[in-house]
Amino acid sequence: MAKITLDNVTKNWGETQVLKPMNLAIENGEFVAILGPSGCGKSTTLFLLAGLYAPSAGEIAFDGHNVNRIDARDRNVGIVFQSYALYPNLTVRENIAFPLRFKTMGKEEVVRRVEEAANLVQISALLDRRPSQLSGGQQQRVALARALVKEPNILLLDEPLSNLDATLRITMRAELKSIQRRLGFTTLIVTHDQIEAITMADRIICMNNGEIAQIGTPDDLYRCPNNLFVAGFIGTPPMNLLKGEADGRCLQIANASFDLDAECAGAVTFGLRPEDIALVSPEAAQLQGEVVTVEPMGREVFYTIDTPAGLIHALEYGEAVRHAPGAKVGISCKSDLTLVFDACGNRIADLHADFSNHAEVSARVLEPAN
Amino acid sequence: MALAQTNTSMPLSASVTPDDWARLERRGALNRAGFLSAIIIFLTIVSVPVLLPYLWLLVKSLTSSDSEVSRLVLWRSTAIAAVAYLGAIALAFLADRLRKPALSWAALGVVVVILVAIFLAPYLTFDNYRFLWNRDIEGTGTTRMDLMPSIWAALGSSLAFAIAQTLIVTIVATPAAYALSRFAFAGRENFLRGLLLLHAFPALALTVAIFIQLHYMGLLNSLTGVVLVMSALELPFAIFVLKGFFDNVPWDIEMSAVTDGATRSQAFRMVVLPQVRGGLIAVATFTFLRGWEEYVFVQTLLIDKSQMTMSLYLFFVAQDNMGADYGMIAAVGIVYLLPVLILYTFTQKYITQMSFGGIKG
Ligand SMILES: Nc1ncnc2c1ncn2[C@@H]1O[C@H](COP(=O)(O)OP(=O)(O)OP(=O)(O)O)[C@@H](O)[C@H]1O
Ligand SMILES: [Mg+2]
Repeated sequence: MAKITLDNVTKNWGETQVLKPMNLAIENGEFVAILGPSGCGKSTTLFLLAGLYAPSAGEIAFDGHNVNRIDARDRNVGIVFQSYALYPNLTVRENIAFPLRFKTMGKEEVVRRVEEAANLVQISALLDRRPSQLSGGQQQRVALARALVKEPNILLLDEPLSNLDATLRITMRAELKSIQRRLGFTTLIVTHDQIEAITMADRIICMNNGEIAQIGTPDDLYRCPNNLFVAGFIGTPPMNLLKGEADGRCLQIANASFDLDAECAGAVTFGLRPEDIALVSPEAAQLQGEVVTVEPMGREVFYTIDTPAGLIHALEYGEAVRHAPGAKVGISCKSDLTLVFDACGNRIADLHADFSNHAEVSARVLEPAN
Repeated sequence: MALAQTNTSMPLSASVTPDDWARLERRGALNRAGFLSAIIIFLTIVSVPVLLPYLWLLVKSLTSSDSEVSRLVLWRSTAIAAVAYLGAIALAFLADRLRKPALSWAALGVVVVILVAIFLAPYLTFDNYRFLWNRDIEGTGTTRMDLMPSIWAALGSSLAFAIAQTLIVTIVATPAAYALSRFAFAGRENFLRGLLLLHAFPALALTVAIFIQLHYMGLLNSLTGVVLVMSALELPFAIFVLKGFFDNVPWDIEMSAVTDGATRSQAFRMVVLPQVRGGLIAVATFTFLRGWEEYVFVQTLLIDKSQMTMSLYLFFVAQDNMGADYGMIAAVGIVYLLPVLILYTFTQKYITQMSFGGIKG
């Protein structure tokens, strides 16, 4: 139950700066996910907040109080480590009760809290085992219970669900979210899993190379990525990024040209989500290509199309395979949310390319091939 | 085709008759039996020279020093041991075919006991152990009281010596190893290299210098001095081995304890130390044994032998100018060995772990 602010916080290991100056404000009770590739500094950020690392520069504040000089043990932060970090010499019960040993608290109170926390993550039956006798998922839940039992102000989770099977992961996701809602502590969760971030978090911090690439709601990151990294990182399958050349109000990609709704010049990258692509007859579109692979995935069909601008991925909803490999198709766009990035990889705000500049395109969407 | 024809030993060709299967099965059984017996024979041959001295030491300590009797007893005991060994192997082979294996083992035990009772018992005596209750070991009536201490005093000093050394080494090595494992400080690498060098250094080369040093410190002729010297010599190895164990304790676990509200030292005591318990026990055992067996430094630094350890006592008994009494030397040897055996039975579980924890360094 604390508001977290980071003011130009950096972290160096020797010569290398693994965390570039970071500014961040997380509201009281907010659920924030940190998303990013391996080694981008996610765990480092958590450890800075927990007080396990001291920042090399900058200021970390909880509720406006600078905590740079507050010891980890006094920050009242619950943390679930990537490796769970259970104490192998203690039973599950003792593991969960461990944080309470350092608080003045009656015996019954300890027992009550431990059972409550164990119930919350559904491990009441395992209380007398040792960590080595638990599966990965069970260990993770013990770690979670241990972090929750001290009723922390801030909960930090380092990939807490990575070891669970798919169904358990979905239940735990919902569970975690509802526990967080109920108890209201500020939560940061580190994850590799975009779906996890998108479904659980109020806001997502997308990190790359020790820097925050973008902070925003899941929808912001998906719809309006600020730069090429976020555009390529968020969303599976990833966004199609096509190299092109802008000149005035015209965008040239390979042999096709499109209208721009604002002036622009120079090398740009054009971004188009696979699910926004409509496959039409070749004459109906500026950009044509040949279907290379077709992967029916149940609810949708995934096409890879070889075009003069490179390979393009397209996703069509519906079970029917409407284009066979080798078929010639035209590539059009269903939405006007196409994105243009400048040569440095930053999105040019309010600039969109008009893919459907032919009035007839939408009318001539290909009918299913027989 | 040509390949299949030339390769006659190819076992699973298309036309395998039932006869072939039977032949293959027999061949497999034969191979397994051959392999097993080769291993058993090899291990037996290798262990005989290692284990026989222990048997002979025990037997020797229990027979009178008359050389005729002594030789007879040695060979008889060896024969009985061989019978017991062969019986055990036979039983192990037949174990899954026997209906009551436990009963067969008991029978073998009884046979061995009977053999011992018939062939050995008449010659056995506890006379060699008379030093345990009588300091007049020569039976001359004149005790060499001033020279020959009681075995109990020697056992006591050896025990005190080894325990003191163990305590000092573990108490100093634990924080040192922890610091080396956890903290990055200037010169850490050089320190580690130095530790290894110190361990590799032949300690005997230092004897003269140590002698002089102890002389100036006024610790010559005192067990305390030797304990300090031995502890210093044992420390590098202990630190190095313990560091390996500390390295295996994940950083996360300690940090987790700290976020849970423990101080650094509480985290060390409650979370880290229990995980290196095996390593501590192993290191303590080795240090204890080093102290227990130490001879050279005790011999050099305790000039007037007013305090005697077991190693000195053994040497003393062996050096009798009346001619060595081998039976008694063997008996002292057995007494010297026993504590080690007892210690090992309690700690071997941890010592076998040492190679795991220690080598990762
Ligand atoms: N103790 C350390 N000494 C030196 N470099 C370190 C140390 N800890 C982390 N780093 C470096 O800092 C960078 C960020 O590490 P961090 O553990 O925060 O990554 P991460 O985003 O959590 O990755 P993952 O998803 O794989 O857990 C990495 O490049 C790593 O090599
Ligand atoms: Mg990490």
